[in-house]
Amino acid sequence: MAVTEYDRAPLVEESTTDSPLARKLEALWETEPGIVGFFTTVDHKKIGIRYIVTAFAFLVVGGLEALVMRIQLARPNMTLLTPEQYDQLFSMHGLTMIFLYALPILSGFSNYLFPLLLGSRDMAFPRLNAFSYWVYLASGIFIYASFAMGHGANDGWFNYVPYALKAYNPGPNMDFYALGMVFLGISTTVGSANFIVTAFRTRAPGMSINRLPIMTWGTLTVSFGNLFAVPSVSLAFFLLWMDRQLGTHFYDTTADGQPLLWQHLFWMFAHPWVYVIVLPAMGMVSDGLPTFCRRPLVGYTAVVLSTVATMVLGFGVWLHHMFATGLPFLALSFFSGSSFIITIPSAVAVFAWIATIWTGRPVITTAFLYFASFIAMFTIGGVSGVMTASVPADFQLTDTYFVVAHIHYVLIGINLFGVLGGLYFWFPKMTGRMLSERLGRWNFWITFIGFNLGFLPMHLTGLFGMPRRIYTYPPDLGWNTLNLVTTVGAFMLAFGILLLFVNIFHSLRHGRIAGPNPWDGPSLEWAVPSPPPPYNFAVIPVVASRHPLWEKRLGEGIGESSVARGLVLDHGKETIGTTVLDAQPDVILKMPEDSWSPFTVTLGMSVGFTGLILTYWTPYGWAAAAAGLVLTGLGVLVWLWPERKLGQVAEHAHA
Amino acid sequence: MAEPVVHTFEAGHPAPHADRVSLPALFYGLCAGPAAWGAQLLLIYGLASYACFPSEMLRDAPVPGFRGIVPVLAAINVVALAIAASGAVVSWRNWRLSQSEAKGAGRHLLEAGEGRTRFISVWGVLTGAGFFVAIAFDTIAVFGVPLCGS
Repeated sequence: MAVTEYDRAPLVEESTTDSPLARKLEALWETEPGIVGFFTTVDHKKIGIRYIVTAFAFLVVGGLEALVMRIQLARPNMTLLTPEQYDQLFSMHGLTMIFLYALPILSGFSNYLFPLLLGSRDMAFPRLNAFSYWVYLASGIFIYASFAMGHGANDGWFNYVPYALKAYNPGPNMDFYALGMVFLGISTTVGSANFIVTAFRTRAPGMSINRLPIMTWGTLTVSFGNLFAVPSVSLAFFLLWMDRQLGTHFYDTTADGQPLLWQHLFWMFAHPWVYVIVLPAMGMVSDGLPTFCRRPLVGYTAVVLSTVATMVLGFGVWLHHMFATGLPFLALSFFSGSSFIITIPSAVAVFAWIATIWTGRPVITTAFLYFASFIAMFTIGGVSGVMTASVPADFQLTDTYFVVAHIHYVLIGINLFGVLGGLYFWFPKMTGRMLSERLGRWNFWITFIGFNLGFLPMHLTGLFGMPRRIYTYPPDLGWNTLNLVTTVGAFMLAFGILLLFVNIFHSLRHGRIAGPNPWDGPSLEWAVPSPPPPYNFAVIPVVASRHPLWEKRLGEGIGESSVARGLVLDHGKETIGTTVLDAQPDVILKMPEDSWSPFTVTLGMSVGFTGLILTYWTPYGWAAAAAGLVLTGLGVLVWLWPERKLGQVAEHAHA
Repeated sequence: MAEPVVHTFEAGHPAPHADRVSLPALFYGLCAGPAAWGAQLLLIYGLASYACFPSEMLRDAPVPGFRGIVPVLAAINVVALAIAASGAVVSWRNWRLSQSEAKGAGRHLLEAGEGRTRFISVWGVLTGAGFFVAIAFDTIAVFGVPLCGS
């Protein structure tokens, strides 16, 4: 975006999608069809759907890796996999699900929905948005190139040193992972900055900070979290790569390095990351569930605050992953205290959801079933998590399958179930067609039963002493039946996910036409056609409450929202800029056209990172890295070259 | 025919009482508790950890110069508690000044969130009180858990 016009007062008109104004906007905002449009689009809706599709692709790959592992563990002494293959599978499975699926899927929903929820026309920085996606895709391919070459990460997703150091892990496996994570961190960082500015500066007039949809709060909160957390892990991985390739000694005990430095840097990032990958999903539930309960969410103010408080507290609990490292008692106890305290804001959200269902008139749809089961999964995952907040309990539970069960209740129960509910809820908006409810019920129940069949017994497996990350086990330890049940559950869960894809492909062609507001939703995205036009809103709406489309029946708010009649912005690609707290219009923002720059800069960076990994084999890799740096620099120069259309070139003074 | 933007909507202002509470007061109330908690956690963790684990090996007793560290930890926590409490008090005052900003009393505010000034004020009350409790947890640990040993 570029700020150019403070003094032009936009006109006010009533407009629909078939008005002359809408036709003009369509021509202004439409992406060019074909291959050029594919690479150059900056439309947040297309980018959002790409994020979702790509993240689901990684979910499938990570899921298949899990199924192979579950076959290996179904019976004792199985020989389907070698130990090295198993190491790579569990490492790739973990990093795929945590880094390449869990946040990107939420970014996809947020990308698609942010401007629609906020009453705007695009993200604040559309080209940065496209760049964020391309870098995510490129870094995912980069990381998976290692796996295809047989050099996948093999030290688990948290990648502890000293095993990750070259002396113990001489292949390029860890170098791929380290550089891939630095690369991915760029995507996460720029995406987060974009979400923050979008939420703060491009809201519809009147949408003050206390009227934001909760999903927006969730993504806004975790975006702030990312800006603090991601530098920590990028640094951790960069230091690791330097230890491995440049001979530094940050983690090397033989040269006064500190292995615990890795753990601190990693968990300073990774525990907040747990909240990063659940809070937006909680926001989706908080926005979606009330629609099916036919009433607003109970305790909006407290729920939003609990979202923010959880993220803040999430930065003060990282040491609970390190209770077994031998740190002093008192130091540990501070983090134990924080880990107990964090249950309070989490519980606020749970009780608010339950009260919303209790006091509402629930309409039982597939989306509702996912949202409601999310609450149960959240509770189980939360309770098993808080058990590890106790230092003595953690000494017993750490590195056992109990922790594996816990993280799966968090990742599947609190991320995937929220996402699937969100998919059933917003799919009609994205495609214009409803998902089949009949197939949806089958999809839900098989997924739900399969997941719990697979992972609830895993708590017991851990309590019976089975350590995580072993590629097989002897038959006389009492783990056989539990492991077999878990494997059956995992396959059932996979079948449930398969049914989801069947439903999607079937409904894309044969689904019932949705119309603008099939669920009678209260927020602004339901005021535009399904799928929305490229410009989202023909006129920028003005809102007077948190539920513009339910205003008349709720009677909340101070005035009256105006959705069909609003601000006309048609002097090129424009949207409104509003103040941070009260969303008062203060500037007209010029938005960029579609552009090759995000893609070409990503290509330049890909060449650079590929060069760095090539240094493992040949010193010529440095030349490739330098070439990548130059390409990236040139690409950025072209990207940032001032454009008159964006008001970045000073106009000559008029005589 | 299109009309100019000024005075054309009946949307009202989301924060009619914004002028009653200054922004610094609003944000001090909101941020004092979390900031105090974050600062005290880093400080007391750093000090308590270094006292017993200054380099490679965990020690049974604090390193010289850190033997009297527990009262220092307690003092840090007391200061942090005071800051968090002051945030809650300032926010309470902000709330009193802005509570009639929109219709309905506290329950309506919790449900609908209307009235931006009182919305942030109530957040401040809750964060001040909540982070006071979080700091109090750590304070209990200072007096109840041995400094060194694992």
